Amino acid sequence: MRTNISCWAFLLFCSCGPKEYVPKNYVSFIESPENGLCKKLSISGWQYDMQYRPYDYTVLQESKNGMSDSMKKIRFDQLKGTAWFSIRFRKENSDQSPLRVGVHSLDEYQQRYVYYMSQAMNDITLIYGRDTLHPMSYVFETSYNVAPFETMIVGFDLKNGDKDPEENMQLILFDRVFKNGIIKASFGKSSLKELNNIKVSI
Amino acid sequence: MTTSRIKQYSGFAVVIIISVLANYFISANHDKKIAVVDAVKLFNGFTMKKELEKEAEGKLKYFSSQVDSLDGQIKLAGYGKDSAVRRSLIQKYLITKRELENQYNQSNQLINEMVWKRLNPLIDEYGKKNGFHLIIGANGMGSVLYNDNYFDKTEEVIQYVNKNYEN
Repeated sequence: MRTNISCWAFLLFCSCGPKEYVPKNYVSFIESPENGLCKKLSISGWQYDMQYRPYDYTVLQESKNGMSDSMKKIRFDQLKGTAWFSIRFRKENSDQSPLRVGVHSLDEYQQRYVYYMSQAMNDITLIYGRDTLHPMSYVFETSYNVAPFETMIVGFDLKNGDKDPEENMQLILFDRVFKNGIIKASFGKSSLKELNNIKVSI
Repeated sequence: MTTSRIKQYSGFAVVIIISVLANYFISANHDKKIAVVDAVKLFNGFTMKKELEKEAEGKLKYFSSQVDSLDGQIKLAGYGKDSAVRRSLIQKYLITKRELENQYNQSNQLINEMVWKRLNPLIDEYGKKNGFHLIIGANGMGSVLYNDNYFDKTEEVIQYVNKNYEN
């Protein structure tokens, strides 16, 4: 009887601990819309994937081609107090880069390119709790027309000295180029808290 | 079985048959669901429309304040004299006013386009989810001449599109 109880207690203890993922499964977890950290929105024939990028996820992506442990530690320190997101967009049922969709001249293409390289960050904000944050960093990861999507990576400095995102967050994009208006993706506290129960071997 | 008993049972049977038939017809009519939505109320109640207008306001205010300032300068230049300065101010005023009107029209057109582009699929989705066969858009232009609240789903649709918009 006593052995049985201790067995159950051990199992209960094990099931309460953080789940441990290998990198591949961790990335799948973050990118799966079911877990509330990646929102897939379909608007007027366009698809927008707006995804929260936890620090582990960012470091995993950056260390794909190898990164020393000391460098990883530096990256983690740099990321503290920030929140990062990616916004990937594509025209549904098209194999063209969005920069080329409906473009009639090289000038028009270049205007789009310049907009996404240097101006699009002005059309992105983050509602963090009750605060409205503007990007402190922005990168346009162009696919150079090789893939049918384009990606923007955007980072925000958190308020109130928060080291990790703790409040409800809503990422807002104003899509002027494809005239799809304001696009929002909400990331609830509960999904963020869930991340505390996950460990990944980096 | 006595005759009176038979009569009593047949009476019950008739009542049951009538209620079953009535129930069938009522539910059949319920299946043909129709809704009326006030298109103007829906457009104005959509949060994205309000936010787009607020966003456009800044640019329009800039032109509007320039028009006001030029108007003031023209008045200061005096009504009596038709000086070169006044003529130049009037020209500037007319150009800026035209620009303001253009900006206003463009912004209105863009907001209309963006809002309806977003609303139309959401209304479709609402209709499908709630089993409507027909949603009529009342817009005060005469397409719906009378509508009591029975079929009116405007508030419900506004709530649906706004909830969906916030994601």
